[in-house]
Amino acid sequence: MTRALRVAAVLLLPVAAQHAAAQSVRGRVDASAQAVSFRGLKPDSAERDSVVTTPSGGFESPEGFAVRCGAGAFCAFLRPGPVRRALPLTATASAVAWGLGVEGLSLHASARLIADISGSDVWPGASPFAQLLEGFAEYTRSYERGTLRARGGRQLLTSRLEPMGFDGAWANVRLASIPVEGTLYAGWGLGQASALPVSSPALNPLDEWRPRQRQWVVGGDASWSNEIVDVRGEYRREIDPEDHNFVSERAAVSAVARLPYVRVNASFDYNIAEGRFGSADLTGTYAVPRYSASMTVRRYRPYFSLWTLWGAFSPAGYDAINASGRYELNAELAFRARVERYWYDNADVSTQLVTGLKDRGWRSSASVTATVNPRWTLDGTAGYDAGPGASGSTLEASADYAKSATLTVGGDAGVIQRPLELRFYDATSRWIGVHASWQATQARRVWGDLAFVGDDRSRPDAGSSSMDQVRLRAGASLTFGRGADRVPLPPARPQR
Amino acid sequence: MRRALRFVVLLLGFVAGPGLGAQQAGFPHERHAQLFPLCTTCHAGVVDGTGSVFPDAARCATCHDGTVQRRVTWQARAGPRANNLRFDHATHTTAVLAHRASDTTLSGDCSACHVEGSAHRMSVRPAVLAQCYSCHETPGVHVDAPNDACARCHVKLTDARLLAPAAIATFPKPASHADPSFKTGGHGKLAKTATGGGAIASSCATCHSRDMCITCHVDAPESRPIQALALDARAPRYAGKEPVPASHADRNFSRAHAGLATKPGATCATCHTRESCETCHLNVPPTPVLALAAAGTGRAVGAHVERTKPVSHGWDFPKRHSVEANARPQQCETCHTRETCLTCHRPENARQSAFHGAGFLTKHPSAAFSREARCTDCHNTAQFCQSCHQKSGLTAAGRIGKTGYHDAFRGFSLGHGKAARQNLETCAGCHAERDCTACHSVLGGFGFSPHGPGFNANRLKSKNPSFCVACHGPGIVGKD
Repeated sequence: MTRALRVAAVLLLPVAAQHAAAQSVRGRVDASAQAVSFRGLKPDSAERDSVVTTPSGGFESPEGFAVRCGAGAFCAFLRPGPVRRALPLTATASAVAWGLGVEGLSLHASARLIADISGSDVWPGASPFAQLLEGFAEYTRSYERGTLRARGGRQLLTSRLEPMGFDGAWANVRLASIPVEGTLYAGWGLGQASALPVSSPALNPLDEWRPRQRQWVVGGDASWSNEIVDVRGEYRREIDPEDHNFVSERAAVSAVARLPYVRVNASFDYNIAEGRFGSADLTGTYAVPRYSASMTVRRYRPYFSLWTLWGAFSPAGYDAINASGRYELNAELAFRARVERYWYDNADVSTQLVTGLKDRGWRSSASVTATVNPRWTLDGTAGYDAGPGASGSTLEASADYAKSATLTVGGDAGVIQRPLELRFYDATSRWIGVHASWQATQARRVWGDLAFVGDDRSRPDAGSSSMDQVRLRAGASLTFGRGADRVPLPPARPQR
Repeated sequence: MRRALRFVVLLLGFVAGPGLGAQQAGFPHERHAQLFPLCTTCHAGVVDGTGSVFPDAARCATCHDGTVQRRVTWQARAGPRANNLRFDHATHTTAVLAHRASDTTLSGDCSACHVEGSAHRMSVRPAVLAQCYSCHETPGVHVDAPNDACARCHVKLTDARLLAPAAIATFPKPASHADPSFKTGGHGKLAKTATGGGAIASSCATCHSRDMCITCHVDAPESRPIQALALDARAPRYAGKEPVPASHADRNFSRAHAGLATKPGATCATCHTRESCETCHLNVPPTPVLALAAAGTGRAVGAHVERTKPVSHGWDFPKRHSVEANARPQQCETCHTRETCLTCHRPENARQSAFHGAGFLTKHPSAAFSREARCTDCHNTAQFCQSCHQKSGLTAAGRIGKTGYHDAFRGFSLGHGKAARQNLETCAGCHAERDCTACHSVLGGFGFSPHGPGFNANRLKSKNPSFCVACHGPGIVGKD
């Protein structure tokens, strides 16, 4: 499909969807475009004979780039890459239709068109052009003993074991006599957090080994609820259909207890295939209208499918404790803050050749929102993250003005300092921008924002770079069909 | 005797006609007592039932000619009086004669109904209500008469076409209407007749039209008693605040209402249209909601539900919602469509992120390292991270250390183990597995073992031997 056709298709999708409105269809279309540029690195080399030794004992190219010299005749280095520009244009349409002649039957679909109309093919995720996010039929029926729901087609499964898409069947039974329900599902899985199968070339930019066939997925859950507690246990197994080996086998439990003003959430997962616990968390939240406070203790352990080798490298998890709170001094002033401290497990590596690497960190932020009057809102946030790999200090401020119930405009500005741990790379970005949103009708909204960004990346060699850029985004959303514009309701009295 | 009784009854009815309970203004009967020994002198029409019940104005001028007496201006009323009485003299007479023919108390005596107590014959006033109640065996206060008593004397309001809205507005209110339970359910019980079915108590129909009911009742078209009333815009509409049932104030009501709605006898349909529920139930509505009537003409607008965020949905709820959403996803579905989930879990590339906020692209390294959130819940590492890093020149082109990206630590390629194990997901954002197996493989590498503590080789081999074969070769299968 040519680029022009793709652009036309993206632009026409909202129009077509609007005309598809029917009494028993409800839907939403979002279309948006973004103009963005970014600048990375470009590998280069210098003749070994041309490099010089610096006072610190390293090597530099004649241009002043720090180089890495191996056994060959050339030394490698990375110079600032070219500025890459992208113009991604997307349209996502979601719809649900019912009243199809069979009571309890409904159709659900969500699809996306995406194209990088800059032609540079640098924006991630722009292939394939059309992606079906979800598309399934659902049948719901209530009996005296309970309620049955069944789905068939492509669907996203929200789960403690990572949200997952699959093409297949799903059935849920809820009993009327006791607060218990159960779910079973089976089908062909999609790639992790993707609408594409793992065998798709779009999910393999580095040309790694990938399964030739999509995995089978089967699982289920059971839950019990009362007025205070919800508990749900899940099990999921993924199988490689080619050799019938496991791709994953995991289980998880999630629980919530709702007490007066207090909620306690807890969850954990267990990797049955690897024989060890994965991530877990326990959160207590106290919330009243004027203030709230939460405290969480959690453990994080990375998870990899067994068709990758990453799990063999024994990724280390970390333990963390965090707290967050919100306090509204009055109707005009509200404060928010969060802080987290985390510690990695001992990596237990036998070659401690590099010392001084961080193995613990902080994450924190504090915000204040001032509602000067019903029209003006000011917001300020300061953030500080310091941990392994990368750190960041952020200062942001924004002002929003609601000119009317339908039109809001605002401006924002900020600065971030972002040093990396494993590379000499102290980046500083400053930006200032404006944004606007107009709710033209209950069913139509347009928005846009424009930002001027100054990006400086400092290094102790010639690899420093800077890039000033303009980022522009615009989009529109419309809802259609029954219920999309349900206020005001039709008049009750007969018109005479 | 029979004729005399008829006369009395007709005369009684004539006087009562202008309206029970309203003092007749106009002609000063008592001042003319000496002139008119008989009521029929002026009101002959009451007796014969054919002529006017009022005298001709010219007859007044016989005396009121400006000489004998001052002139007066008087015109007989044209047409029937505006009221809601079932009464007309002929019918009433017939009924009285049929049931009380032997009762002589009314014989030749208009005063029986139009004079109070022992007052003078010409102290005429509208029909004395006590007399009506006495004959019609209606105890108590007029407006508080038993349900079916009203219809003995009154027509339905909607049949009293001559009554003006202002007159209707002055109708007295029965004591029952002040009962606290009257709004929420009491009036419905009173409205039902003993015979049930499609009838409504005459006590309601005497003062109300369907317009009153459809101010509140969403289920008016389905309610046979309400449909028994006709529409009439002259009738009063409910102007008060619609009462909220006590159950709705319960702290757990939002959670418990589904169970209440499915119980037999649930009264949700009284106040709620389907649209009312769909304010929150954005997805395909549940069965009890589908059973409700859709908003439309002939029924009340219904309770207007305002969707409010649960107290749990605080400022950092997007980062914390996982457990609650997983523990009971059905609860989320009541307010959120699946499109809500897809907004983040299938992020749109050109739309401002609702989760991360503006400028996150610049900030993302510190959040991605150490996984502040589980990036892989929403982003495919290959499609999202590797793809972009590749275009930015950040992905590795071969064995670690070749390009010297990690130049902050001398000898990092040989001492990267700790950083790699602690941030392996981040490594996978730029590195392919082959970058690692170049050294960490028995097949073609240096054989450096990547396995750390807790690595259960036998268990993994039993689950997926190809996992082991990739580095150890097929010979690993079958070995312990």
